[in-house]
Amino acid sequence: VLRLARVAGISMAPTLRDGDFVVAVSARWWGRPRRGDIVLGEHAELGLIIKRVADVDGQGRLTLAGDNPFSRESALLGSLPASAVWGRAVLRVAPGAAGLSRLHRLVPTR
Amino acid sequence: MFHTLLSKAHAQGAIPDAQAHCDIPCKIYDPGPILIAALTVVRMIDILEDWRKHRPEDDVAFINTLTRAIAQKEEHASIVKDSVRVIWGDYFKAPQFQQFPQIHQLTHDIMLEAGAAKQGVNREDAVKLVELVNQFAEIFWATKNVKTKRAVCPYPPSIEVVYPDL
Repeated sequence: VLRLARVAGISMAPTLRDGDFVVAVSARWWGRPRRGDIVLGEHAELGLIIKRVADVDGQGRLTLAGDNPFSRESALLGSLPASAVWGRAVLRVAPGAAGLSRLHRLVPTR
Repeated sequence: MFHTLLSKAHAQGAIPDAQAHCDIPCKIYDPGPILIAALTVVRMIDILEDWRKHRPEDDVAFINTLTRAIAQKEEHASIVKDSVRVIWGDYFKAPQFQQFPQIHQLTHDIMLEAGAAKQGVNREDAVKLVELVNQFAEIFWATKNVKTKRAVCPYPPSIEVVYPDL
């Protein structure tokens, strides 16, 4: 139901920083991920990834993107079928005083 | 507090990494192009020296060629700095650092030497830069268990370069 993962990389900064931990809730419990959610998913080449859902198409495929404006890989990442998404990241565990914080759905502006 | 606990769990392999990289980790790293850039710096200094001795009559043409060689010297010294930083920063990780702890000092030495070669026209600085990049290449290939050999490059400036012995 719950899963822990450590963020590796800076593409989700400043929301999530390199080395933060996240607690994710299974999609089976939380329901299908929606646009603006931060999701934990299995990418064919990159393995476990964490990204924000930029778009969901009619077939349920997700386009993912990083929060960092320097994250430009969205097109190269391709889209992910809903079945490859494990769940939604809901809690951030950061070092020091920042501590625990909720992660919110954030609908990207275009 | 939570983070400290989770970090310990992560260190023991209990928590996986979720990739949030900005770059696609393509894993293509090779010091070859860095050596070519370092050789170019030496070559540009040689060309500048050559023109000092055989200064043509036409001042504009002379300044033009001079400027072009200087621009190339600048650019290739920068390529050395950027590319070494990428390999050191992206490719080298804890296991490689443990194996070759001197890589930090070497990388910093390359930054300084490339800076010196960029600023001046002292051939010795540029030759030393090639030698430092040679050492960097030897360490890089050693982390991949690839043997290396040293040979004089078959084109100017004809100085010793490290090649992987694949």
